[in-house]
Amino acid sequence: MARAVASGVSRPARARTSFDWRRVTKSILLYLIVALCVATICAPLFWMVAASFKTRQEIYTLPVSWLPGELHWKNYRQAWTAVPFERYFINSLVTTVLGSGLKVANGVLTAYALVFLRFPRKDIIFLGILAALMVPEQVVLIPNFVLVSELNWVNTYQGIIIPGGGVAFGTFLMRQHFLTLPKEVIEAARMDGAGHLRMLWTIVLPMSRPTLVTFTLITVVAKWNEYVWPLLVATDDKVRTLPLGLTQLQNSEGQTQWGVVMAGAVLVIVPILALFVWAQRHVVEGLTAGSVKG
Amino acid sequence: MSKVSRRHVLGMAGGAAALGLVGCGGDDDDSDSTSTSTPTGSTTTSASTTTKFNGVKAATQITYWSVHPANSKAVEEELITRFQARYPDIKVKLETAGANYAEASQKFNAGLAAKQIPDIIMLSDVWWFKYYLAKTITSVDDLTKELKVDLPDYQDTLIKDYQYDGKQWAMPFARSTPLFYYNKQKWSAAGLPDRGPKTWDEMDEWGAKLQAKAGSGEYAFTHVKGDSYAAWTFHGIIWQYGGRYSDQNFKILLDSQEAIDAGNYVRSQVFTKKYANVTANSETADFIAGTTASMLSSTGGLAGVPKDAKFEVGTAFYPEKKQFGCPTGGAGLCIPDAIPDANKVAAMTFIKFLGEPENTAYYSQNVGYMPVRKSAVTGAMAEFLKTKPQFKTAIDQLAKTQSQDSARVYIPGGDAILGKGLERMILNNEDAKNVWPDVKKELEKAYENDVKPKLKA
Amino acid sequence: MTTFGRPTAIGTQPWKEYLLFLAFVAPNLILLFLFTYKPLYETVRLSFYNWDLISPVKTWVGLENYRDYFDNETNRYIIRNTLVFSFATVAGTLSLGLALALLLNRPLRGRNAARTILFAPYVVSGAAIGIVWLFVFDPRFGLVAALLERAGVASPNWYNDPDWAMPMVIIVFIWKNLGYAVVVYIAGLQTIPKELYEASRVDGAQAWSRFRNVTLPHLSPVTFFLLVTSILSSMQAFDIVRVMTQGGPLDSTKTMVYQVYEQGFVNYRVGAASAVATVLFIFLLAATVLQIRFLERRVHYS
Repeated sequence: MARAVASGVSRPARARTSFDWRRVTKSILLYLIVALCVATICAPLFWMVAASFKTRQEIYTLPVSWLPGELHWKNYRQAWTAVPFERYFINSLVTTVLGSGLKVANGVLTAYALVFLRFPRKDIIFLGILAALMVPEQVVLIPNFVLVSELNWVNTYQGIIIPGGGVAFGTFLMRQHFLTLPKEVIEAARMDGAGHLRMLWTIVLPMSRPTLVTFTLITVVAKWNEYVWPLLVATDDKVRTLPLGLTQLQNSEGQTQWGVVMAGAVLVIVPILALFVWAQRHVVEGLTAGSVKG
Repeated sequence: MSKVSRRHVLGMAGGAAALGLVGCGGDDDDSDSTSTSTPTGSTTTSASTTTKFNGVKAATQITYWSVHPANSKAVEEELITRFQARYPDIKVKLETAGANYAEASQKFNAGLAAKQIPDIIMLSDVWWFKYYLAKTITSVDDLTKELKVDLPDYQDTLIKDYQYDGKQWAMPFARSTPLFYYNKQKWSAAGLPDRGPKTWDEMDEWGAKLQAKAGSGEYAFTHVKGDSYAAWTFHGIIWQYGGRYSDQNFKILLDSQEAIDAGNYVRSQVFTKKYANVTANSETADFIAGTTASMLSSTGGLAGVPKDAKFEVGTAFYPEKKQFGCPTGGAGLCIPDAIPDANKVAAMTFIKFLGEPENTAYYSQNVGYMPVRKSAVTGAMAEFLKTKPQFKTAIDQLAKTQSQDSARVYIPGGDAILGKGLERMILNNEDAKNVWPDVKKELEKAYENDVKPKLKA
Repeated sequence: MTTFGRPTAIGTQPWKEYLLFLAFVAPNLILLFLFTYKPLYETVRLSFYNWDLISPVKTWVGLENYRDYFDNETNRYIIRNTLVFSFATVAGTLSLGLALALLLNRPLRGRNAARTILFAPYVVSGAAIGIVWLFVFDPRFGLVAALLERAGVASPNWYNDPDWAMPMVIIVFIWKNLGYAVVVYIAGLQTIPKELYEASRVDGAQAWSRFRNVTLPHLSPVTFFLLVTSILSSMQAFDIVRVMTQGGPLDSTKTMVYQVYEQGFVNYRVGAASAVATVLFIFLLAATVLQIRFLERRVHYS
């Protein structure tokens, strides 16, 4: 494959006088490989959607049926009534919006202060924040749970949101970007007597849109899919988020009702995929930005 | 913690008495005074029983954490509706404590740490003792006395399971035993008589016949994994072989030849006789789907399994070996120690109601758990049992059950340790001779760490 | 660059700016202190105690939790699992990711759509993905069993067989994260100046040697970035394991992160859990530092 690819990177313009069999087979082969990869990625999702429309008999019969005999909505109804999906959805929305808001605000303000405000030895403060990157969440689960218990925050939104409110990576990302902003503009604004909040809002942030979008997207996706911390803190449906709700459904329907569980999975996965496809360029670029230029 | 609760008692009792004297007519009291059903009316029979709960008025709302075992949520809700009809002043809030008993215990533990606890918690055979050790559940003796719960009418083995240190720590509710289920269709296809195997030797013989008729991926019998209580169904088998997990004083007895033979027997069903597998999902799902022709499973499936199966379901006693042996199991209801006395009284009022013969009969018939009252079997369930031979078998077997060994039910995590040992035999084909010593060591360590220091204290 | 702000702040009192600085930074610092640094210290401290989270007293046991930890065969097995999972997923994601990136970097029709589809699983919740794949791997009624049946092979019992459960979770993890590596690699490939290929073509270099001498060295910063992030994320993988296997069967998919959760919040052995967490922290720290020190030198910067 390497051979094929490297030679394809810059092909000299060659007049196509005769039908080039080698080239045609090669490109057919390449398309086949791509198709196979795409199929592998799609197959589990197809299997999920198909099963969500199958009757129980169709699922538990050998040989397996690839497609449901008819579109059978009963699994969806059962999934919807077995667990309070709308509640999970609201909880996911609340914790994601507030949690991401808190994180982004913290990251932007900290980065702004680190770059544009005077403070003695702020480089040490920056290092102190950056070092938090070295501490994975899982290492500090237990003391955090104890603290949240003592605050009586178990099974509350603040219990899910606040402990994740500090941000190191986002601060780093924003700081690196702020450092690249053209000095002159900032200085001009300062000369005009603009206050720092106004400067942040009207000058610095508009000039940092792509980085801000990246930071926000990374945060939102991580929050929306967060699992281990809500698993510990959300003790009932009052604040359970969608990933936990789906596990609830899996538990309540067991592995005896794959159709219902898959219907629930469709309800969780498909809206996100739709959103992703709609905004895919921003999402893909946002989530992977910073990886190349470093 | 007991200190706190005693202070609570005095406070509550004093408060209630004061209210009664002054005849203060708040909204709540109006509704209370019109109600004839308040369980601890301060006027009645205070002379005959003097418990610390005497005169304590039941709280107006309690929370009940349940696992809804065997999909019993709707049945529990119906029982709560009936309770509300009789006791409109005690609102019962049903909450799901988890998908299984282990999760309920985890949630209760986390709740204790976060000070968010229910008034009634459903704890299974292997979990309640942990909370007894932590002194976080209350002894119910005074409550049953105060509320005149008819203890002698409860099934003896089921009530005794929760006695320790001379006190009662829980009340039986979703109680079960393992039961042998078989697929009558497959039984007759293999030319077998319509009954369960009397002994494991007979099962081996039948297993070969059933296996000869089985399709690909189908088995005559299925074992469960550790987290599906393998050590529970195996408990009967080790007894039948004449072995034990431990004695009642935590002496681990897994190094006996009987224990090794029993372990290697289940292993041989999978690896040498090849008529048994280990279920990938759940034994009942496989049984209903026809993947396995028979299983040992909780009586909690008695209502659901025959309903979901497309074939006739037979039930039978455990097969025997040297002797018969069958453990009790399932869950009971505990009352946390840290809640106010008024809540404890309300909680016991509800628990007492659940145990009334017609209610335990209703629960039993609709889910499959054992009726906890003797009079339910002879009275409310008599007709039903005539038409449901599968239930009848289970209740007949109940008379022959015994309480489980301390290693499984009293050592926190003991069930998981034993279950993992069994997995090594039935999944990994390891010799019981090599597995049990490891298990023994682990159980002893758990006892030293988690039980012994607390028993002394 | 680092002196930004200093010369611009003409006429303002420095202490005013100090206060503003503190106001901007304080919420973040306080949260990081309360929920990252302090608990890190607490984790280490708790590892010297026995505690069940509910007893009013914690019992000091010194180093016993560590002695128990290292004196236990199961724990060595779990460390091995952690390394196997991490190595397999990182190697799989990076090598497949590079191969696909090379493929999709060619002027193929529909390659953007393919790229989007490959990336999609990355944004979906791991718990949801795990549940879907659990059904895909169902040894009798799952998609994999059905496909294997077609090929005339009996499906392994993914859920029950200690030899197959780990490959199962590895496959799912790679499936979920592959698209990310592909996109990052494509971006990396597009930064390689075309002239370099032209030059090597003039030299008459073979395709393979062009790949080795031009493509690969230019991708090394990207590879380094992916390596660091993938190792860290694989060592912390939790949701897929929790949903699919709960660490079983027979601990065969139990990783250190799962062990922290299990000891802490299933068994409520807080001391033991904290000891594992501390060891895990040291591992991760060492991994990061070593990577930075040894790899940075070899990474090619253009």
